[in-house]
Amino acid sequence: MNTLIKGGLKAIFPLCIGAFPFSFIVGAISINAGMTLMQSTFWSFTVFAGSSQMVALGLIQSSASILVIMITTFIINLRHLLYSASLSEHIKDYPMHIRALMAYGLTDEVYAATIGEVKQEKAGRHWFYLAAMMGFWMNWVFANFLGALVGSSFPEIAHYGLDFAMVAAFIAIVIPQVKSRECIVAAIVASVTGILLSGLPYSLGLVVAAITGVYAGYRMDISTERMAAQAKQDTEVQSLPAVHSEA
Amino acid sequence: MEQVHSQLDMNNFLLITLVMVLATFIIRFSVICMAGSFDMPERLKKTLRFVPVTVLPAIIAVEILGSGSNMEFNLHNPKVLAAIVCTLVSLRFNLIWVVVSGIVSLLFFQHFLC
Repeated sequence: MNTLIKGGLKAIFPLCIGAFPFSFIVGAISINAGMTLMQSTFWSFTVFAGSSQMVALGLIQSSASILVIMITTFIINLRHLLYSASLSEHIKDYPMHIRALMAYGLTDEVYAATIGEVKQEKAGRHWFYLAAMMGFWMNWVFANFLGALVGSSFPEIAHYGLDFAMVAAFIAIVIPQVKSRECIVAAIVASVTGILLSGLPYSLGLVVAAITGVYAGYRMDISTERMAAQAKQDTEVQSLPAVHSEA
Repeated sequence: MEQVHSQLDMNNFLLITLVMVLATFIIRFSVICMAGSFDMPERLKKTLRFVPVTVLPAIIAVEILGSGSNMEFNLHNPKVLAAIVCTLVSLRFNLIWVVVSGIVSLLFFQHFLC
């Protein structure tokens, strides 16, 4: 058990370093959005979802409604459905309360660091997972606390472009993900829709933009698959006579 | 943007927290609680990958350009220039450097353009 706990902590350690500045920034911005030091720390402890927290802070600052905050959080976290689906295969023998705890801390980082080990389905693998999860969680809350502390000690920090820190962080998160042609189209469609609908109340434009962008991506996938199938068919047709002539 | 330190009232804060905890947990637990008793269609899995690459760019675009009648899309908007710097930096460096270069370049452009 001890080896598993140590292994989990070791696996998550590099990701903790990576997430530290992110959480620090979330903490600093949360003070800007009107949270107290206590609120900010409690918030990170309970919500534990970086990009959603960052986005929610932007929404809180622009006085979006609770409903929009909820829908947006839901949409941003939809990718975790994939993690949930992937992990469920390997932990189905565990009792429900352990599974619930594991799900609670299922972030991008925890998934990335543990899935390799969990997949092997060795006995006691939940210790590996839980150690990684707890390590990441504590690191997350602590970094947020420090960020909030700095944010509240220097209230004028807002004048030094901290609002823009959030935008910059988003750019850093999203650029490495936008690789394929399909993703580029989806991103552009969503951005243009978002700008055109930015006048809608409660930031509803963002929700519509995301849905439109995902739909555009889906259509792109379909057409790419058709083109690939067509190309495959064409090459098969072209290679046929050659086969015949050889015979 | 200048409404710094308007306190969030406690009820509102707790409501936001509760709503976000639920929205996050429901998704993370959704399939795990059914554990293996059903398979997600391949098409849905594939389409879900578009979610982060649509939500974030839309937010970035609106944050940079402003909304409604306050929209400002030109090279005199320091945020547009700083965002270009961030994009270039993000091709090579990680999050913290993108944020630092973003803030520094924004201050620089604000100082020299405005």
